[in-house]
Amino acid sequence: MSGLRLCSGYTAQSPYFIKKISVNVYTMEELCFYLQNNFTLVDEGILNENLFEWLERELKLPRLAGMLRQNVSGGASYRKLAGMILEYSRYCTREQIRGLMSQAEEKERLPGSQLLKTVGDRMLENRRYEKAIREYRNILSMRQRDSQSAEFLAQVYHNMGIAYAQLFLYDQAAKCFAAAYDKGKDPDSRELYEAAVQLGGEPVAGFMELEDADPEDQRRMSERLEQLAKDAANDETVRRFQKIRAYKEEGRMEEYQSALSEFLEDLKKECSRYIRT
Amino acid sequence: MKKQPQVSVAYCFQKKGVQIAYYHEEMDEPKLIDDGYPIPDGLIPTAMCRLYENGEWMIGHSAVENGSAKKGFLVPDVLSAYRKKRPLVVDGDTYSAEELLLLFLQKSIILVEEQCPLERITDFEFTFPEVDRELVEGFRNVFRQLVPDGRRLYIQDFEESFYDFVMHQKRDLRGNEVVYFAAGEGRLQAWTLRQDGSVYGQARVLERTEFPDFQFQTQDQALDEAFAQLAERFFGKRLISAVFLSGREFEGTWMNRSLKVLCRGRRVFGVEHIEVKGACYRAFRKQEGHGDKRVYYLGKNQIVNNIGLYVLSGTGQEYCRMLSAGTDWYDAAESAVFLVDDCEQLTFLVDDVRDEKKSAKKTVSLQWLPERPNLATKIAVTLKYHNVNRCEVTVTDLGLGELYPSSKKSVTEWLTEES
Repeated sequence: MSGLRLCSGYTAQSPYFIKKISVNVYTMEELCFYLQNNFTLVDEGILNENLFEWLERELKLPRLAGMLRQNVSGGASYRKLAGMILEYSRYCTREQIRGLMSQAEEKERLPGSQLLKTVGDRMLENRRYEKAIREYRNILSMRQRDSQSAEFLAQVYHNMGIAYAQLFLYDQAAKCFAAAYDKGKDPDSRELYEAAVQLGGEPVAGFMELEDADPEDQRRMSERLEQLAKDAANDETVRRFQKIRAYKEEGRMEEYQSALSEFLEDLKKECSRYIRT
Repeated sequence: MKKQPQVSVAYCFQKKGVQIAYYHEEMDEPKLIDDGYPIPDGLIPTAMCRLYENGEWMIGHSAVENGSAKKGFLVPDVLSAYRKKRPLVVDGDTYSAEELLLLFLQKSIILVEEQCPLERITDFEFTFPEVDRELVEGFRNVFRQLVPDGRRLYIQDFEESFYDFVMHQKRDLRGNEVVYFAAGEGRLQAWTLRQDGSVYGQARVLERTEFPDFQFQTQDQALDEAFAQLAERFFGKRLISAVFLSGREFEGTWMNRSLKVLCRGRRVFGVEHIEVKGACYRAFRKQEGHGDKRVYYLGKNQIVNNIGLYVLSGTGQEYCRMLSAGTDWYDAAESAVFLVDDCEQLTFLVDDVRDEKKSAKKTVSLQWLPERPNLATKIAVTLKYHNVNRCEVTVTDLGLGELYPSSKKSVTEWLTEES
């Protein structure tokens, strides 16, 4: 049933830090969203005494904390604990929790690389690009690599390319997209390769140039690139970055230094939200 | 150790001064506070005087006395000065209208503290002949500087104070209509408090009647007969539980037949300072555990709408009321946070308690919210009345913490129309 859910619980003064995705959560809704969407990945990294204390102290839920502790003593699995939190808060019904349990069991039967990709994808969704890249690299360096399907590897390279692009590392992004296209022949990977090159990435030697592509593909890619360029032009961060680059190219070093310092300072502030001291 | 009862303090601002009273549940009725001078009418002048000798400010009767004796600079009526919003220059020092009012109230609090320690006072009530938004916001602003610790201030008009006075009386006195005859400066007017045939709850409304042709002349048999006839015509066949009389004009022994008319099946009381007492009772009823929340008053400053919406609960839905009829419009504001679960619009139920046919549903679209996974968006919904008729709703995107930062977008629409 769709609708609105009244949020009447407490908001924590001190958040709980979910290390896996480097995110602070302040409310039950945020915690439950994470648990529901990462049900497969719950482990002692999140479901531990620190969390129970936080639930008790910050969200004023001593009863739930007590139940969780009791179940830990009884040897309950992490998924069961996660299910208890979801049920207690009425975030999920029992039926939904049973569904999550089955899905988690199914995913468990997947190869390790699939699980790693799930983690990497979550990092990417949560804008933790460096962590995402690390997970994707782990997959690529796994011994079973050769037994992983081309389609799977294409997805890994493609997502890694996106992570690099978000970090303005267009050289690496271009390489990843080229590898992704090579393995999966996904037109999106092709387009993103062209976009990375347009934004300053080094073209990959031997990779098919746009002029060599099928005319229909050329037309589609050109339109897409135009749209991407427009979107990028409207993106505040990209605009700032391009302005800084322009100062440098024009030899306006004082303005370049000042704008660069300001940009880096803002980036630091953005990053410091995720740093635990 | 027995817990000290919480105290309510009321200020009743009138033309010729202010009455200040305090009340707690162990008292029979509110007690008026004086400024060290006799106050036969309960009024402390809203005068202020800055002494030439030492620059000290006096208020009330001592201000009038010192001002009249030319011992200081006199401000005859600080409330009137406040309404005019004109700054005052005294010996080279400039005081804004707000500063003067704050100073007056600070000095008056000292009088209150002589009777009752400040830490026991939980609620303040200010009552005025009439209220408007400017007055309410202005006094609230001054009060926050006066008592910055978050203690509550309620503001009402005299009609509402009378309602609160009556609602504090025993149930058998207010079972049917209640009439209040107020005499002053030789004139007579009446208020009738009755239950309205409203759809929800038990609403009370107040009707005011003026008797311009009635004059309190010599207190004799002619006056007695004139008032008796007036009362008979006014009451008609209505069921009236109680009658309250206030004003010096009712004093003396002239009421014979008129008293018999008043007392036919009714309880009759002479009462003083009904407004300040009612204000004390209101602040008291707002304290936890007091007051019947089913009964409410619908006067000219009270909203007539219950506004709420349905929210998910367990496997079904339940009604969540955000604003209730009977709330003073200048206090009618409420916010709540909701998690959006696959929902494209908000549907508000706007009930008019006076007329079921006027109840309506009002929708506000949520399609402007950023695209996110389900259950990844919280919204803040704020309702606020701008006058007694018009309610505005603002919906703000809150995202979901650090997982999905807020876009800071919001939309604002009118929920109700001017009637």
